[in-house]
Amino acid sequence: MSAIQLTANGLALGASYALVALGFVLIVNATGAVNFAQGDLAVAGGFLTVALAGAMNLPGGVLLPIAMAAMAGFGVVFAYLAYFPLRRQPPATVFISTIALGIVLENGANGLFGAAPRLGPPLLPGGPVELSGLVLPRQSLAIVAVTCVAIAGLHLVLMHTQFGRRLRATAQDAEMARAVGIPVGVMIAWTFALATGLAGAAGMLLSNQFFVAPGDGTNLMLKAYIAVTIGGWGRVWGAVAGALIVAFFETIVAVLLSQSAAEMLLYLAVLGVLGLRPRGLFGETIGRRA
Amino acid sequence: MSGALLSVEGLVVAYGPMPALRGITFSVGHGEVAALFGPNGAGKSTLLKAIIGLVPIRAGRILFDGQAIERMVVERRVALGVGYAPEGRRVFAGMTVRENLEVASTAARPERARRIAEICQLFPALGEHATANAWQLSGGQQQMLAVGRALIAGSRLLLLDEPSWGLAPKTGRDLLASIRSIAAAGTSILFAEQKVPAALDVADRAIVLRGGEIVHAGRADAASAETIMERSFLGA
Repeated sequence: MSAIQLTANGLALGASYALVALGFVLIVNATGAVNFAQGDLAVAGGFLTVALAGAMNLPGGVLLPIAMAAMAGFGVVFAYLAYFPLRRQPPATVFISTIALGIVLENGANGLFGAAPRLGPPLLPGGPVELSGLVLPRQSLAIVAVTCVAIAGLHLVLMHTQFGRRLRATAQDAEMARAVGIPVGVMIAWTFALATGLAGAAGMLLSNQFFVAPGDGTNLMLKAYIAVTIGGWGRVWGAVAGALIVAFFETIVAVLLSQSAAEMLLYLAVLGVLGLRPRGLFGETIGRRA
Repeated sequence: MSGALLSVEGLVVAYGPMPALRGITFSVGHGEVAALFGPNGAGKSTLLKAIIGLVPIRAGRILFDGQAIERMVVERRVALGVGYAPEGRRVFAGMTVRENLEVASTAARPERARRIAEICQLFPALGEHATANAWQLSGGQQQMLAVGRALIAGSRLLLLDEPSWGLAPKTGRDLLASIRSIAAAGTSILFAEQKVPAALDVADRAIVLRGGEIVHAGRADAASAETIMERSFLGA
């Protein structure tokens, strides 16, 4: 595998992890609860695009916003099932409810699509792209481009709109946000919608590049969890950086050694990072959460 | 109680089996400044939180401009014009000063900008640090921001919980003095305070709470300071 292809694969994988990790961070910030089903929601997004591509002859560029919107809607349903009824219970209760719903999603996908990996639709049709003599995988480029647009859009919404300010205020101090008139419940529902929409995008992008199988959710969730841990809990840009670090680490070590060695060394590296910097590489100072 | 902007009648609040407020009844008139005094645990913060809707009530009524609000969600009370600044400021630390003010406004952009300009006129330090993150402000500036944010959110009745808390004496006095300016513009104010003499300088009326009950209510003037101190802290 050439260095260019390796980089493109690492970037594409990292970009997809980043979308899952961002959803993770959004929900943690808004609710204080970890959504352990975030990986399963990405897998659900992957299977949704597999189903949509089978039912409708639509190009990937059209399927992507449809999948994101549908998953965002499902995110609200998810919030009303896994979070809102239990929001006043200890955090562990919500952790367990998200794990339970993740298992329901995994088994639902298994029942509907079978255990075998399925190939999702490509975002862009056609083979590799040749640029100045370099042959680049078209799908990898598309994944990176879509992720950049999604992250830029999220940044724009969070930092430059009243809606985004309200989401951030809710994330920083939900009770105070209520006290200044922000409908916190609505904001949290929107947060789940955004997070699940991003997971849906990740699911579609990964399903063509790396296939999608019902059991992939746990691995994706763990990678997102590691990315957020490395990047520093609560940090949006830390999660993106963490996702890229995890993906490049995996890709390079898998080529140099083996996939299983990459997995093992990744977890050892995480232990090392946590030992040296318990708040993650880009860990936040209390009170400065973005 | 006709003509009152805020009327609280027989308010009861309890945390589990522990009563925090026992049948509180009082009112605040249009443009009036009322100070709440009492020792720690008297129920001052609970009373303010109950009025804004952050703690549930067991019994009683809260009328705002004649309208019962005790069953309304917080955002509806804020929309009617009730603003709240809590003890300890609790500004949105990771957001800029301007964002802290913007986020509390439901007005359209031009009106929002006009209101923010008014707040910055009242507290010039906020205008000077508009693009700084709230955590970078001094304690006094953070308190100004908390008050400004409450004013943006609801400008008819302002509920302030210990606005001079943790501030240097002069900063605390300046902030209490700004309460008078806010009231002069037509906003009614109910504020809890430990610094009795300074608060009496700006208040029209004093209400003393002890053990969740009102033990004294009357005009706020220098002469009442001794009575208030006795009722608050000695239970006389």
